[in-house]
Amino acid sequence: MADLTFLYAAYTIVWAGVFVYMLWLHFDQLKLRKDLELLEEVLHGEPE
Amino acid sequence: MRPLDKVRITLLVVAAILTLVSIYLAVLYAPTHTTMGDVQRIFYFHVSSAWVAYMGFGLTFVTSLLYMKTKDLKWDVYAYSSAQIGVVFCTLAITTGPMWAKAVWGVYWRWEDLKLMMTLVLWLVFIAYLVLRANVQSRRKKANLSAVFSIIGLICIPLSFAANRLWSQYHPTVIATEEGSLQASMGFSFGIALLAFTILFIYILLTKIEIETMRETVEELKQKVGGRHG
Repeated sequence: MADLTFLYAAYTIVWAGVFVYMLWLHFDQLKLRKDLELLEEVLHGEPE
Repeated sequence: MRPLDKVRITLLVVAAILTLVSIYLAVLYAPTHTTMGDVQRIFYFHVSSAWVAYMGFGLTFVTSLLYMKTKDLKWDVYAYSSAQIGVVFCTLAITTGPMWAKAVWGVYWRWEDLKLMMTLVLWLVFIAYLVLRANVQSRRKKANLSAVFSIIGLICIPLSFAANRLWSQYHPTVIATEEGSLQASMGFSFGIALLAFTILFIYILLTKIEIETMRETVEELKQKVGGRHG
């Protein structure tokens, strides 16, 4: 029984870790895309 | 859709399918280990995580060398991206190992085991690498210091990988030893898990490189906007 608890804990750590890291990358990417669009709008969209 | 996005999505789909297959193989297909019992099934993803960490750190070293040679910041972006992935997967290996150790050895950690200690040192070296990068403002200085640091960090990679092979330690040597050799079905399950993690590594690496390249562009544009308004 204790063996299975360690097994579940280890599998949870691995898959939750991978999932959270990928989610963090995804949100980082979304934020940067938004910043990039905004900056390009400021640079090219504003009147000279 | 850009060609790179297509490649990334394909990699993600393949990695997801292989991951599900590898979980099935590790949990249901592979036989229960005769002496260790079910807890041995941790090994499939613990070793795969460590494998990705070694790939990440190894790639950091190679790209740092390329940066030192060419002074092209593109290589520094590659080095940083692979170092971060290495740290994440090394964290997974370092936290899942003690789960197995507690069940088999009765303790979470053995301070006298060189394999464990060298992996801990390797992990700390690359955490220091990330901390160093976060605290240096000048882009060029950050790249130069990081490259030197990761080249020094390389010493820990072979030591961590080979510690249990060179010196008799507690940590088991599963591959390339007769006593630790796997049954065919265990070997197959392990191979699929390694393949799934390798493809996952490539997918995450491409994503991370794209993010960091985008961050560089954002910083450049911010300076341009600042220049216009300042």
